[in-house]
Amino acid sequence: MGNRTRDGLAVVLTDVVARSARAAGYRATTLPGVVAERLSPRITSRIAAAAPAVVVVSGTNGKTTTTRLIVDLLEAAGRRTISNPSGANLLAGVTSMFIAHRAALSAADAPIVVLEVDEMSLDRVASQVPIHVLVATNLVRDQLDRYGETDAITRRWRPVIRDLPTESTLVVCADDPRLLHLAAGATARTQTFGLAEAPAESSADPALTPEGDSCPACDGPLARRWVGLGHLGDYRCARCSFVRPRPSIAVSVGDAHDFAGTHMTFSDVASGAEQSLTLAMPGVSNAYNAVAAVTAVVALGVPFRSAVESLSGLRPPWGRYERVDIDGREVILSLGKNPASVAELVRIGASANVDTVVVGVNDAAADGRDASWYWDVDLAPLLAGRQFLLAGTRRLDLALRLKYSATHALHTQSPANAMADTPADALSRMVAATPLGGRVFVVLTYTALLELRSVLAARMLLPPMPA
Amino acid sequence: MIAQLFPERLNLYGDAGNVRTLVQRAAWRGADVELRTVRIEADVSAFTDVDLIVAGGGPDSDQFAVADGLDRLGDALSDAVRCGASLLAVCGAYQNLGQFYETSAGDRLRGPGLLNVETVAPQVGRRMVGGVVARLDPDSPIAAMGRASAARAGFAGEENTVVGFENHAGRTQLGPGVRALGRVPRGHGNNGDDATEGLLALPREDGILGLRVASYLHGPLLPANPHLADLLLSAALARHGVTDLIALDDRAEWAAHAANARRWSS
Repeated sequence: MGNRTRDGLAVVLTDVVARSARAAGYRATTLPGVVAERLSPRITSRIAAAAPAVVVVSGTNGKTTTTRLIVDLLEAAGRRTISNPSGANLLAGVTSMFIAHRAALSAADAPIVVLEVDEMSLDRVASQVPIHVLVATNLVRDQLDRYGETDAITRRWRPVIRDLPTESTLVVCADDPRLLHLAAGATARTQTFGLAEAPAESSADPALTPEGDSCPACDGPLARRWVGLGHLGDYRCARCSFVRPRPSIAVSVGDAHDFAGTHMTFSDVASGAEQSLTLAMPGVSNAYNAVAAVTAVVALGVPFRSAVESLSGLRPPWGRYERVDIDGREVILSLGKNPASVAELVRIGASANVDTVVVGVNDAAADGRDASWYWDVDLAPLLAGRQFLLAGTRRLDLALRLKYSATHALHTQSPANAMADTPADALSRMVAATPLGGRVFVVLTYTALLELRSVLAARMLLPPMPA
Repeated sequence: MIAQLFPERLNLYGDAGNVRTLVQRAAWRGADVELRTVRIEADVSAFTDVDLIVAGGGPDSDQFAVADGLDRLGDALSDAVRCGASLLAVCGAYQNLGQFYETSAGDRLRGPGLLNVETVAPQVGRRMVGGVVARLDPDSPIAAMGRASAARAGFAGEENTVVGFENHAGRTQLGPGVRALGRVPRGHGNNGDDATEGLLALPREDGILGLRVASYLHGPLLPANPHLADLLLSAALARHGVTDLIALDDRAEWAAHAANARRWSS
């Protein structure tokens, strides 16, 4: 059976699979791809070859937000795009997306493809999909039991970066030493993004010691002059010449205005231009996402100033300081995935106007089955002086973590008495305990947040998950 | 005095929580514990006056740097333990403090041999990842340490296990006569073959004064295993004339222990 026939068969069958799955109530964003690849290997590469431009976003943190921002910035610049949903970022999900949009991709005015790709799937996707712009956000310890360690990811990424065509562009975070070192292996054009200087307030990775990591070039001690977020920041090796380069496009982060947004100034080295705005997504992590997205779309020809201007008025994706009104209280939903992201949530939440807090940790595969990571972050400042409830399958471990927090005496209640059966239960009890017009801050791991969102969507308090 | 070993390399899975647990449990008993951080560049005097050495796990790529550090400091560390300092070695530290650790590429990194084990990282073979319940011997001093506390908390019997989460590629073989920390189902623990997890060497056994506990379990290991934490703590405090540890309210600890034991029993 030739490729065309096999592809045709694969496409017909995946359409059937997709429709049946949707009829059964599933979102059908991955299964069709699995079926298609079985029937017709490399069908993805044949469809993808027709796409005018493919942007791939990968890394540990910020993939979803950065992908969404790139889509929004391109659309604001009048370019049409298609993208894969965040939950479908493995090869099967990418395949499903290409199949679903195959007609549009073979048309004359085909859209730009913007893909979020899981960091362990990047090599598999790269073997099938030509990449015109590869955006690497960062490489951080995350969900270690799923992937082993960051070493494994680095090994997979090295050939992908090396084999990126010279006409493609590699957009990489200058503030991530390991990533920057990996990027040295590229023959493609490289553009870097990062912070212009230390942010007004920063959240260093609490597990980061003053000497920090080792130098990826010579394994010597890597000194950090300042930290932007987690392991990202300005660095210089004490032993060799490895040092952070000045980013091609940089952002300086001002004060956060509570959850409303943060003032930022973007600068472009090439043109010397500077542009400021208040980004409606607080925190240094979103500054990194925004500057990554600006650098990516500038590589696709969008003018720097209009890219930055388009950032104002953008709304963050679900679970990133997502605001919901429930019974006259403002509920802020946040996804907490690892020490770095939770440390920033704690920092912003601790100083913000918050009345009550819900923290939930699950340990399903998508959350990270080893929940020990929250011992590397101190939640106590977020809970000090506030009523709170703990939820999720690992809430007892969370209570233990709080009990052993050095500042646990600040808690208004004993963690052992702050248990809720489910995130939804925790939220409704905290809403009831919050004065009208007050605020509930919710930090949940992935599956706990999905579970809560679907309960809220069923009660029409939230739109259902985007398709 | 508690020394945390090479935290810049060996604190990957929240193992700093083990130190936190020991320091806090001592503080609740009115014992002010001094904490010293021993970095890789430290000199050999780093282990003077140390009563308890705590070392955790790190990424495979750091194994060489750790081995180098131990080349210099391994003897001083071993001497301290020989003279009575206790040791908790988790995962990477467990491997590096043994006779040797052989990488998947075949490089053999010699260790100080303070723990009589040999570890090999296989070229192929699955990584051992998952929650683990390790059964203690009925006469284990760890179980004895936790009996009253578990009963008081309403969780009698939980003291007979140690619970945690493993994540390692290396396969560790215990030397002849070396006691395991606990027994686990096949496919888990030290090597997946002999149903052992970790190592427990009591004071004065084999000529070494210090209590040695080694394990592949994270969680971190000590918070939800208060009996193990207290065994280590009492050995350390005994050197300062403290013979009995005041009972603590360990309901939160045993509740987490019991829930995870249920969750991770096959």
